[in-house]
Amino acid sequence: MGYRSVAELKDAQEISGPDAALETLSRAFPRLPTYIDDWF
Amino acid sequence: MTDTPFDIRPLDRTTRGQYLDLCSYCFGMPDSARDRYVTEDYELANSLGAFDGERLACGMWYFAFDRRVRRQFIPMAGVAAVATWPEYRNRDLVRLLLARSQEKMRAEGRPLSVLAPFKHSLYYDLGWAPTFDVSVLTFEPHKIKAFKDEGYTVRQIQSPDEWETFEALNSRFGERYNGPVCRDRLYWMRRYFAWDSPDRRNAHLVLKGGEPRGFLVSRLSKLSEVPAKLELRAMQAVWLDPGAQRAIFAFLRSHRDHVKHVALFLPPDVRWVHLFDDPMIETRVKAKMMTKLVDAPAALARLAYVSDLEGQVRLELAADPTAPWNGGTWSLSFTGGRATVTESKPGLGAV
Repeated sequence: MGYRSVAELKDAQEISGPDAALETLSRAFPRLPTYIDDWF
Repeated sequence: MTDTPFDIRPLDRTTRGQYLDLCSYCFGMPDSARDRYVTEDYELANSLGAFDGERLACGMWYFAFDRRVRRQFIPMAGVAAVATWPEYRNRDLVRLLLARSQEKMRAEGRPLSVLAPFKHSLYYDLGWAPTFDVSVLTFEPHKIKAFKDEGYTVRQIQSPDEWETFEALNSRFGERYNGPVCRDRLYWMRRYFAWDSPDRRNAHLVLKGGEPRGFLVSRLSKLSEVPAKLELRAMQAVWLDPGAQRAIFAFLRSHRDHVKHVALFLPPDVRWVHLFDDPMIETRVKAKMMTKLVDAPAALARLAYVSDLEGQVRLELAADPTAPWNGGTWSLSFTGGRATVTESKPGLGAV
């Protein structure tokens, strides 16, 4: 969802797989600015 | 369906009072908030309680929001006020309610869920993961720079009907982020402004040439009686241009004679050092909310992707006991900025 990159998830051993698949996922799920307003 | 001696059912008008008592006990919810919390039938429909006979043991509900993800809005369930009486804890009631609740979220096409955890580890086990941080700046207002007049004015909200102006600003400010939610009139009135309540917040608009360019929502609370010193808690600041941001900080600075300190909540990527004469202030990044793909294949299919992405990936998702439809192997085919998600047989179509 943009909070962490695929590379970060890989470093944290939370995702694994062939380099080509991880590269595709990196493009599909780039790290993006995240912020949620305080709705409570 | 898990066997349980508890009766699991939505809260209703007759049991809502029990839930508010529970929220008061667990979260210190003030009496003044009782008339504003889970009042609508559609909110009660998004609730669940675990009942021991007629006694509510555990309860929760969720806001039905649309959340911005990559420039589009996706239905999201904002889980709120998950609470259990102490005598009923350690019986997996939260897990049970959230599992049942996810069935409803999925059925109504709400593939994402967000919550603010009181204990991260509990929600890790249920499939939520941290996705939102917030910067909290605490400072004495005199430390802000004295900015020259740039023609901005700040005025207090005049009528709750101005909620649409606030929401338009909120929406534009949120365009660059993944995460912000759409708020409706009821939400602004009841929860954000708390208009007809002793807990009413201060809401100020920032204008230039009559055009709204930002807002600040805040509350003052007393730190000491004599001498009277206050804390200004600024729960949301929004601006559409740097001048409006400076106008908000100038407004905060104008409180320097009677406010001991300001607690200001900002998106974590906001740069602020240049706004202070003395930027040696207390700052912290606070873990805020967690997200779950309640319906992972549906969520992945709803997202927008970069238009030139072509390829196929086979994704194996771990078993998810509270959302069993997520576990397994999924094939994602990317083309034209969209993804087609299909269940994949292991060993076939791997990339």
